[in-house]
Amino acid sequence: MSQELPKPQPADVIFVYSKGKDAFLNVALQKWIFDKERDHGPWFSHVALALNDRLGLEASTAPSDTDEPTWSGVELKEGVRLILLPDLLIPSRDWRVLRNAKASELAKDALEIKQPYIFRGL
Amino acid sequence: MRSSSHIFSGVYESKYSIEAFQEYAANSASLIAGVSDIFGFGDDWTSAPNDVAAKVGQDFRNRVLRDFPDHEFSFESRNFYCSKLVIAILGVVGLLPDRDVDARVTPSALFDELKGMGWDDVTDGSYPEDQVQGWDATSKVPWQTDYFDGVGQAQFWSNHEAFDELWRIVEKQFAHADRRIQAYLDLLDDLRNGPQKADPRLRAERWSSKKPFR
Repeated sequence: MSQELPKPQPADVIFVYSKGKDAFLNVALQKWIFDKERDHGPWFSHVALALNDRLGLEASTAPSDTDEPTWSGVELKEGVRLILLPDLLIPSRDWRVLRNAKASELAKDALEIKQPYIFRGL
Repeated sequence: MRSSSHIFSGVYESKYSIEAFQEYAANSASLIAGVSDIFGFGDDWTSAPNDVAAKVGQDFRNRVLRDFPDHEFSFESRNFYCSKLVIAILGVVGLLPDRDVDARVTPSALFDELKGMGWDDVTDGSYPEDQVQGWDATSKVPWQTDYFDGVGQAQFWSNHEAFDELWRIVEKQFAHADRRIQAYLDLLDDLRNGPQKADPRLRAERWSSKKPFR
């Protein structure tokens, strides 16, 4: 029997707690300063948006020299960028994904790359 | 789908929250600032824009703004941070209500907010760990193809819009030149009709309002 795979949908909001010092400090700042009233987990260092079942959109700083290569091997850029969902999730230490029940009612092309609000930042 | 203009105009002006983190750390929490330094975070925390405004070059921008000080580039330089980008896009497609785009929201706080609004946690059903790790056993080639196809599409649409941007500037230049030529023609008419017939106030006004081409 073949391995069952994740079932991403457009507009899934993917929260991750990444590995590495950037993520650690990011979460530390949230815990100690910005969300110090928040007395529960989970904590996330990053959030991205699924555009389809393969690609996500995220805003990120430039990859550093010490970053591990992505799972897929593609080289990521900085700023607002596309990311393959496995490149986002496989190296993460934890993740949670939220979905709006109305997301399935979105226009089919609402999150396609041809939309100015998607490609403008890329 | 709602108009994105007001949302994105706000986002354009925003700064990456990490900058705010740094500022806060520097001003309010020396310990955090120290930790930040120890961890080696510098000014490159910002998610730099990678858009037409950033690409067209400062010389070109200066030239356009010299001739048309009020010109607004479609892609004004802006920065995003992760949760603000998600909030902005969800707002555009109507999955989040209108909100203050400058309000700072961390990823963890956004998680709480969406949960509070009734968003479903589909992690266990659609993204369980064993299935995510199952991706690791799939061929990477189709993924790479999808990635480069997506990047190519983005580049195509971005170039398309960049061309429109430049064309708008060219049209402005044409209109500017047209007004100049018309002013010269009007002046020639005045001279042909005799300087005594030309209204000196009108001539002065025409000349003062029509600066030579730069």
